[in-house]
Amino acid sequence: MPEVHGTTAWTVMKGFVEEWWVVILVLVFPLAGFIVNGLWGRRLPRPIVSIVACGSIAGAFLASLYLLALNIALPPEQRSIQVSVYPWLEAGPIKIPFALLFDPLSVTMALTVSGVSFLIHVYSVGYMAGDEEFSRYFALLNLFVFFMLLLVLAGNLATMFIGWEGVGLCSFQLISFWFTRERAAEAGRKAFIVTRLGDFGFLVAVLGLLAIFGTLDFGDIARAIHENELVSPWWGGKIAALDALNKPTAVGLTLGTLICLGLFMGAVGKSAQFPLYVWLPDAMEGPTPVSALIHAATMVTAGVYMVARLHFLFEQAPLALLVVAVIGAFTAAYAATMGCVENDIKRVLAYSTISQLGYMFLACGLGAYIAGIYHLVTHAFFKALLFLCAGSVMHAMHDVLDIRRMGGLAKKMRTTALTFWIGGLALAGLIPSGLFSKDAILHAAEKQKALWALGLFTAVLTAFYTTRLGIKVFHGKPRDEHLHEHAHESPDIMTIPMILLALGTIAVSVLWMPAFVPGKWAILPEYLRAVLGEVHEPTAQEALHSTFWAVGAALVGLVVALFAYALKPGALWSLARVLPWLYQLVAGKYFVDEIYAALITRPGRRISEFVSAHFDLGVIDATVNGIGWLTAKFGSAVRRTQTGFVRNYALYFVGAAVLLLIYMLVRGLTMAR
Amino acid sequence: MEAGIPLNWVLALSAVLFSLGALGVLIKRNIIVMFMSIELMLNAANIALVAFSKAHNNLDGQVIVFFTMTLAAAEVAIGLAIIVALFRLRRTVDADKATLLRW
Repeated sequence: MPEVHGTTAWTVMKGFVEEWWVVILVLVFPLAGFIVNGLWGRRLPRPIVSIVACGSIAGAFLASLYLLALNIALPPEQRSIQVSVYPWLEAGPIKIPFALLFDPLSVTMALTVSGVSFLIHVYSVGYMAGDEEFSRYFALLNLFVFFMLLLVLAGNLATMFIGWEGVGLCSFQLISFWFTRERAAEAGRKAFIVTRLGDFGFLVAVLGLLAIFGTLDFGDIARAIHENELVSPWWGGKIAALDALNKPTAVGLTLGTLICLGLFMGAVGKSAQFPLYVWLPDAMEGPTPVSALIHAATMVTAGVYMVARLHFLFEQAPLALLVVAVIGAFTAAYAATMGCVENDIKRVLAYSTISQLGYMFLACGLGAYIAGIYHLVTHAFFKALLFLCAGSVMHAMHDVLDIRRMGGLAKKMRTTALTFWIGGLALAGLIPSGLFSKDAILHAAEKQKALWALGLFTAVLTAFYTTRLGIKVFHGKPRDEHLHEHAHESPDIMTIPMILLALGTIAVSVLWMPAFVPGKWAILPEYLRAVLGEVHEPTAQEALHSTFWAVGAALVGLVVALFAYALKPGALWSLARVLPWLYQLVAGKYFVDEIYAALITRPGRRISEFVSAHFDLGVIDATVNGIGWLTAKFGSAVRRTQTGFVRNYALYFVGAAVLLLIYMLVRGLTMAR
Repeated sequence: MEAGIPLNWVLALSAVLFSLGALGVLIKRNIIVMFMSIELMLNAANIALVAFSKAHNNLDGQVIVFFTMTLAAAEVAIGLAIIVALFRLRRTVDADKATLLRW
């Protein structure tokens, strides 16, 4: 065992878990579901498709539970085990296996992903009941869960990259699920292309790591950095790992910082942070359970997970960590402001997702990885819940999304309203578990006053827009009588997952409670300690202080929203009248889409058009056509030799044989001399 | 090769026979004659092989000759079949009349 000092000492054992096949099983279940539904789904009756889809995820969840049991049974310092399934890419000294990692962090993620996914699958059975492409939907959903589980269980960056791109692909497919709608198809493309920008940085960083360390295994890189081993980077020679990472580059940053920034670029794209967040609000064009699963609970958290997974690397680049924290805090506040003025129920939730992911990055950037992962887990529950509630509302309102046409739905949809408020208050940070996880992050930020202030400001806004959303949808007078008449509660198959998620939202708070709660409630930090390092558990006094500020901020937002929308409706409109330019700016989403269109999309389109007209036709097509023309010409020139006379061919034979003979004779004679 | 025909003589015979065969293939239009000329070339090669085999005291050459003969027999069977088929189709054995496979 290496000596533990200062930062994290994470050791990974390579080899064999006696029951390693369970790790594979977690992946095999969803993949099998995808294959069955993808190949034969069209011919199978819908109940079978539903059972296969939900059953495969239930299987993955049970297998994950078993993994957890196996993992806990091991002594704490031996809980990280890498399993090489088969050698995958081997070229000289570089060996990249298809490897899976079995450690507290990956098991936590696998449980969260499969658990929340299962409930969303069940909900989807009800939500998609009327859709013609029932089986395609479930096949893609299963494939998505497979890739996400592969991403979190991957033992090296290459394997992780398969999952990383796989979820991107599934996301694209599912956003544009109703591809006959122009808006949906466009949103899918946008998501794919924008995240691709981030993935470019990610891939470059991965290759950089490979060039320095000669391996992509998380455990190997962690060990090399921790013990400062000698590595042989691509510029030759042998050098200590930390020196290689600290090597200055032409742009003035160290190599390690550049690599971390590249990795973070991938996270920014996938987790929808500023400035690559633009795809997420548009992604709401997909079916609502997809928004719940991909764009709230699982895929978008991949970036946070990746930063936490590679924390040993980020710790060597303090500048990169600072960038992570600042981008996170800024995005959190920035997205929250847009949530306050948005009128589309799903887009409000989308902005809140961006904002909450910002919190997670803030935590990771400050080194509070466990707080970030804790918020990731609790957010998965309550945000999935909120989206499912939104889906239920849409179901009742015949796919109307505009909250200005809703109101008073609480009387007709009691379960939906109740579960929405549980999720909403958790999101606002007023009830557990959202309260505790957000507290943990804000507590970690206390020392950095500027970031802390941004965090508190975001907390105010979060409470404000959540309350606003709840009041506008469920309370007050119905604003559209006709729609209200027809509204109805959703069927049990949709409400039961919502109830379970609501219970889960509150239940996950037992994983980590602040210090002032009597008893020992630090299960998650205890469990993740071996991977992510120690947490400085605050004293009860400190915890109370931080909770006071966080709850206070949330209450301010809540009260303002109550005042503006329930007690004195119209007050905010006057605010909009006082500062019209500010309101216009925020309501116009800071015109970022327009700026991107002017700066990138339109010039890009013009360049593409120019290239397609001139380079494509003039050079590429011309080359290909030229080669074809030349071949045809040459063919018609030499086909004259094919006379059809057998004796002609015989003459060629004999002539060639004679030439050969002469050649051999000459050669023999010259060599003999 | 003690007390017998010198190697060069046999090789010369072989060369002459081979050239005659090649000439026959080149100048004759009758397929059957061309065919016979091919047999002549094959046997010229056989003679050379046997002669070398004897000269070098190595039986490999003679073994190859057996293969050549087998091959020739098979070739005759197929070749004659083709010639018969061609004759049935075209009523001629003139090679220059069968020029369909060309540009």
